[in-house]
Amino acid sequence: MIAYNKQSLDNLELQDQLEDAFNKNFISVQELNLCKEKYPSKLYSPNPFVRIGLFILTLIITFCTFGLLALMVQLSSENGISGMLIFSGIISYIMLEIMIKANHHYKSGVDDALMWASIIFIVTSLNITGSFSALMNAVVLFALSIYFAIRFANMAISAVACISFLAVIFFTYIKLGTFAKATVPFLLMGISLLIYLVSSKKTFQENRKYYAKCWLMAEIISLVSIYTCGNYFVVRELSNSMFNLNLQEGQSIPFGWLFWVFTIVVPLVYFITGISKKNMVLIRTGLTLIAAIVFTIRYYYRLLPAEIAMALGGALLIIIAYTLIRYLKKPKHGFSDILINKKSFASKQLESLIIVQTFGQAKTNTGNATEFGGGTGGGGGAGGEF
Amino acid sequence: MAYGLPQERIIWHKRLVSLVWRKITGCCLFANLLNILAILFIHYFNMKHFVFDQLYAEGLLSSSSFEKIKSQWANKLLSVHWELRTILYLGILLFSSGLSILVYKNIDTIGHQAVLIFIAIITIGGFYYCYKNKLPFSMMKVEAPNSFFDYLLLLSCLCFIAFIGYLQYQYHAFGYRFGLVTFIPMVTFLFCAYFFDHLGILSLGITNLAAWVGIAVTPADILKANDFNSPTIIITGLLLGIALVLIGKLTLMRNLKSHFAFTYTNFGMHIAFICCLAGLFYFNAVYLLWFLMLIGIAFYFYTVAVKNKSFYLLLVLTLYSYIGLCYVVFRFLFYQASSDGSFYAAFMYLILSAIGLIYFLIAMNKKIKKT
Repeated sequence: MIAYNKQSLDNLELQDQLEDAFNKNFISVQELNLCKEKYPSKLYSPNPFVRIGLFILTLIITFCTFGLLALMVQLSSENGISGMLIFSGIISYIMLEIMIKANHHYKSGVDDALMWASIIFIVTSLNITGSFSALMNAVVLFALSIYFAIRFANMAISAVACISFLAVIFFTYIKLGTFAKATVPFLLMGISLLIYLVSSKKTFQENRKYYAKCWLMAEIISLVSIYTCGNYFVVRELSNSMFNLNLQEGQSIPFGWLFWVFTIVVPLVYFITGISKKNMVLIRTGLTLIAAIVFTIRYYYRLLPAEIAMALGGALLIIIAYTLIRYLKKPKHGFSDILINKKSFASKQLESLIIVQTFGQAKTNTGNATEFGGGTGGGGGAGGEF
Repeated sequence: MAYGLPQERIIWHKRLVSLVWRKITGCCLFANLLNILAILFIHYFNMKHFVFDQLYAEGLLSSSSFEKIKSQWANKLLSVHWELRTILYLGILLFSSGLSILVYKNIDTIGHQAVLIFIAIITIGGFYYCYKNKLPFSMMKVEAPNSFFDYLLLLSCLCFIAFIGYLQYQYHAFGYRFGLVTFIPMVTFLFCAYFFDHLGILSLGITNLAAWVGIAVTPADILKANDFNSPTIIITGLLLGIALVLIGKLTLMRNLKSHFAFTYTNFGMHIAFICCLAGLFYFNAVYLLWFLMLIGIAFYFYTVAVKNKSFYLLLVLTLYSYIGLCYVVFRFLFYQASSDGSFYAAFMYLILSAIGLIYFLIAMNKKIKKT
């Protein structure tokens, strides 16, 4: 089953908990170090930024090794390349196992890269001749990703497993005929709901502790997928393009009203249930999907010109947020406006970058009236010719 | 920038509307991503009872620490801090951009004065509120007096910019010196950033400073919007980057709002590295000189990274220098006629250098963690 040493995983989890308690000023440095010594973890998990670097570099190594091998063998036929890709995928997988066994890599970037490389190599090799159907792709992807998710408890890959599973069902079911094509959204919704009901149970997630985050991922994906399958825009445009309905602009799909109900009701249900049950996953997914309601409605019905809708909606959001922040000054009903995490520096920096990206696209001076613009006045002290 | 003809203006409006919509959809996608991350983060740090019970039983935790942790369990508050901030932020984004488009579109129907007065009221009201409520100025970090302050300040600044833009557009209040259109926002932003202590507005100020000297530095545009085939841009950018880094250093040394230092350094570093790489690609004859400069800049940031224990700087400098190194090696390999041999060599080089860098990063990770 899981490729990592379970004892080490437990200890790593414990260390993370301690670090968190330390960051919140609950325990002292001495206590932190003492506990860490008592429960050491052999697993190698570097800093997230180092992880990104190792991920990129490992991908470079893997793909260049493939290139070098392909160059040496002088491949010419499609079959040759396809075989070579499969071979590389298997080699990547073996390297992955070796890295984990010998060097105890765990979320180090190296193991992530090898996982993705191995999946990419194998899926590409099957597609190189072009005769591989979408259904077969989904099946292969599902088989690979479910194996990797179980073996390495990787969150991102478990999301792929979840999505490819739904894709397998979609492509199998629509082969059954027109009735199937018409009912496929409901089937997918039902199955997503099933996944959600299973995966969202807290006790269920905690009992599978190494896979807790994989199941959390499944929970989020299934929530989003329930909504996507009922969203009017998705259903109309997808069935229009995939099943050749040839709808004209303004024409609705059969049972259009039902999908409109889903489009509008589902996010609200998420949001309200989330608040009454104090479930953060539901609250956040609900909030994000409420934006999807707005976009879907605006795509078909332009009730107001965009700019008036924006100004009014913006004002409304500001008022809502202002009232709520005021209201939650003292915690009420179990909700609060307190910033819990102490590491607010990073989030402030991130926030400022988002502000720049969204508001700050200042026009650069490239016109002819900008004699001062260029190198003559470079640096901070431009002003000479101005 | 002549919007005199009606057709041109209509085209321009359409572009503006689509630009804003694209921005908002981008924002939503980004928020989505952040949401998922944040959800994971919160779950990740749900404290688990049994872990601490066990540690306490083994005598590894003092009873006072254990009490503190226990009190955390008892108070099961859910924090909706970032959710509310996201809503507020989206509201400001929608409101201010909706307002500016509204103004441009209805320029012929609404009285100009009315529009100007409306924007001015928001601006003055916002600034007045901020001025009245702000904590006394200091060269150290000044906390916002309440949670709404930062956002209101942002809104007022943006409205002020809309006001200036409108004045210029309609009345050519600043004549035809288009430089002023970026210069005034720049000064406003920088002043407000220091006066009210706001990191986001400081970043806006830096972006406008860069725009004023002719470079786009917003994260998504820095590679797209700049023409790196122009030596002026390359050299201006390099100087700007170095200047920003120096300002950051000065900020730290003199303790002038030292929490602003990272923002300056971060912008400066990316601009300097990107322009240095552009110089390396562009100035064919003296490319080794540019490579040396790249190494120099990288070495400088290496010392900064080690000193500040910054993994982020380490990653950034590694990646940029690696790109430069690869360029120099490839140039060497393929400068003459390229043969099979050079392809082999290129692949070998990439593999070996990447392995080397992996060892470097792992060693650095150890080194920084230890100190």
